Amino acid sequence: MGILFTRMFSSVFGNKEARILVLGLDNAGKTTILYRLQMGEVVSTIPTIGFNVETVQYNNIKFQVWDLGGQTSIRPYWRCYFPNTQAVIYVVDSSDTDRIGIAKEEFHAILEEEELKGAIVLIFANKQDLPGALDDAAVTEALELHKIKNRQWSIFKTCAVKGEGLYEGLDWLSNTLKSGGS
Amino acid sequence: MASRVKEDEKNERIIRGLLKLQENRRCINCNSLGPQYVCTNFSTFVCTTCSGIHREFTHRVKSISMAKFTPQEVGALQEGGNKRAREVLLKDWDPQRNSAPDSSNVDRLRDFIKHVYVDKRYTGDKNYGKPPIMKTEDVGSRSPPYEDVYDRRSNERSSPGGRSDDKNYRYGYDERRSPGYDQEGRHYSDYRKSPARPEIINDWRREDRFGNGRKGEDHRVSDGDSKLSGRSPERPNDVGGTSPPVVRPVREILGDSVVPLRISEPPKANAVRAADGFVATQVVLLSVVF
Repeated sequence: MGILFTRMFSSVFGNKEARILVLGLDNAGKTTILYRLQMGEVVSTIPTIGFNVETVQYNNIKFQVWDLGGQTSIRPYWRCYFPNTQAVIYVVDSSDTDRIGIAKEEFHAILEEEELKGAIVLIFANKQDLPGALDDAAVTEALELHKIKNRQWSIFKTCAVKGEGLYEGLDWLSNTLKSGGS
Repeated sequence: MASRVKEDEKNERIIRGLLKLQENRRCINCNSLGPQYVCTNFSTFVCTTCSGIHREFTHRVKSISMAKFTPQEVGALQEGGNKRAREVLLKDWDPQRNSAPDSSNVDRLRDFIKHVYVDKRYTGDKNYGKPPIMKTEDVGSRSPPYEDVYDRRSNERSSPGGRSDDKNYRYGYDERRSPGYDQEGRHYSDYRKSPARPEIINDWRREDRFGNGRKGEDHRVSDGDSKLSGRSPERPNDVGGTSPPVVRPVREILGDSVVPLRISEPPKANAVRAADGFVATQVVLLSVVF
C-alpha cells in the first residue's frame, strides 16, 4: 500500500523524466556543462569521441543528459540519438566568432530533423567569460534564432567554468517541459 | 559532395603522412607516443592528455581521426609540425637545465604548456609577458620552471591578496587582483577549497538543486530587454507570474579578464572513453599502414 502510494505520488507530483541532447560544435563546452550540472564541478575534459551520458535531477525532473561529441566527423552520428528527445541544449562558444556561421548551419540542420520536431530548444551562449564573447543578443542574431518556427526556444548567457546561467537554463527547460511544451 | 569527401580523404592522408615523421611521432609536450590530436593554434601534434590541457587555455584541438581539416590547417601543419614549433616556442629551452614533463603529472604538464604557449617563455624573446610576481628572479639563472610555480603557489595560499573581500569580488575583480595574478590565477586545483570564497562555493556545489536558497544571487537580477529578445515569440508569459530567469553578463560582474577554473581529475567516463579512442585510432593507423 505504501509503495503504491509513493508511486502514485511521484507520478503526479514529480520525477518526470526528460531526455535531453547537448549538441554544438567541438570545443563549445558541452562536456564541461554536463559535468558542471551533474557534479557541480569543473572537470578537465578531453575532446569527446562518442558521448557522455549522466542523469541530472532538477526541479523534480530527472534529466537524462546526453553530451555528444562535436568533432566534425562524428556530427553525422548525432541523428542516431534524436528519437524520443524532449529537448536539445545547443551550446555555442560565444567567443569563437570565426565559426559562429558553422554553428548556425549545424543548428538549423538540427531543427529540420523530423525526429526532433517536438523538441524544445535551449541555447547556451557559453564562454561569456572570454574577451570578445558575443552576448545573447548577438548570438541570437548570428544563429538567426528568430527564424525558428513552431517551437519553443530560449537563449541564456552561460559560463560553464563558473556555473553561471546553467541552472537558469534548466529552470526554463523544466518549466517549459512541465507546461507541456514538448 | 564527392569532391568534398575526396578532399577530406586527401587531407587525412597528408596528416597521417606527417604523423610518420620522426618529430611528430610523439606528443610535443609530454613525449608520449602516437599523438591523436592537433593543436591548430600552434600546428602541433599532441596526445589526449595534452589536448585537454590545451583546451583549458582556450587553444583549439582537433582529433586527427574524428575531425575534418581545412586546406589552410593542413598547409599550416605541413609548414609547422612539432619540429618547427620547437624551433620557435622552445628556442631557449635547455634540456640540461629544464626538465620536460611527462604525461603522468598533469599539474606539471599544465604549467609547462602555460609557460611555453601562453607566457612564451622560451621563444628567445626576453620581453615575454612576465608576470610581475616573478621579477625577483633573473631569466639567465632560473631554476627549473616547476619550482617557480610551486613557490608561487605556496605564496598564494599564505597571502590571499584580498580575496576575502566580498564586495571587491563581485564588482571589481580586476582591481582586487594583483598585477601578476592573471597568470597565476590559473592554478586552481585547490581553488574550491579556498575558504575566502564562500558564496561561490555554494553557488557551484549546488547541493540544493530544487531552487531554494538561490534567490539572493545578484546574477539573477532580471533585465527586461534580453528577456524579450531571448524568447520564442509564441511563448506566453511564465505560468504563475514569476519572471523568467535572466542572466547578467559575466563580465558585468567579474570584469573582463576572468580566467577559467579547473580541476585536474577528468571524469571517469572520459578516461575510459579515452582508452577506447586510443584503441580505435590504433586500428585506423594499422589500416593505413597496410
